[in-house]
Amino acid sequence: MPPFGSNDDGKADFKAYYDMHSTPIYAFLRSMELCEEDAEDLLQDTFTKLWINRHRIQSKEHIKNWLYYVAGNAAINLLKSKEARYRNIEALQWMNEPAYFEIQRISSEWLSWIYLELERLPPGEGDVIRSLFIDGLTMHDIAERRNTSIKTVSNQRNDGLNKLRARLTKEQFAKLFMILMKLPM
Amino acid sequence: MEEENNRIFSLVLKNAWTGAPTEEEIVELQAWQSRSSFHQTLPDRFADLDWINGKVSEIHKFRKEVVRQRIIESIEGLEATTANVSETGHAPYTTSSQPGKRNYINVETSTEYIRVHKHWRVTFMVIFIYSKVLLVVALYYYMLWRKCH
Repeated sequence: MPPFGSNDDGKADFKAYYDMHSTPIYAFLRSMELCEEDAEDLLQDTFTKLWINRHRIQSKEHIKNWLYYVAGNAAINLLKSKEARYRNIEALQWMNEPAYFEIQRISSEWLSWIYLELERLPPGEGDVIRSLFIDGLTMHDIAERRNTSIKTVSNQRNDGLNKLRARLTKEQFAKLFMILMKLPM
Repeated sequence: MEEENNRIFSLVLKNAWTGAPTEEEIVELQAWQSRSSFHQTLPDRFADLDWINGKVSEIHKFRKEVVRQRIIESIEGLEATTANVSETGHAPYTTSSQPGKRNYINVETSTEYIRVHKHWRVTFMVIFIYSKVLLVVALYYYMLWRKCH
């Protein structure tokens, strides 16, 4: 089955691929030592190229590899063009190694998975868990900021964890919980 | 591949955060780590909550919808250009947003020196040395010729 449906020239499929892969690819580009603006620019170029080449890609399985390949090469080319300003020349050399490429890709996918699971939480509980995890605030900070009691914040944190548990498989929740349990109490 | 990555992710977290992987799991993780120096260091990174928080915060800054909109505009621009080319037979000189204004390619340089491919440097050096050798040989034979006459 072709990866881009013929009904609307593949626009719906393209949107789905963007939703699925944009965050891990962005994380991957940031891990290649690119700043926010450069990472966003290259992400834009990568997905624009995907659209241009959509009829050449044989299957859905190839899309992910194709995106990482194009984004990675674009990142290396950009860093090389900035070589005079880019001081970490040594880093540029090992960026060409396949093992480095693979590790950045794996770690970006793992980190994106953690982030996206937290993002999918509903606003109330999600805000508490995201503030604890992403912003590094304490329960006390959050209670003060929301003008509420620590007990309420603690309840929301526990509700959030329960919602995560209900949504994820046992294995997935175990993964996330191992990190979340280290959050400040 | 996906399954293996998921399995290793579980092992890395188990090793880092609960400290209770089985002997078999430790062997599996060590075998994976032995693939390269990069594989070696990854589990240590995921044992560092500050590192994870920092990286997740970076991802949090991603303006997904802004970039989506930029991609849509870029694709629409490309499709408009393609349609224009197929109608007129040549690429347009003007942009649709700025009619009448020439659309130049934005070129940014990182240095003020002219840059050529590295192979040209060797070629120039060879030509320079070869010309000096020919000059010396020419002078030698000229002096020889003058001596003879």
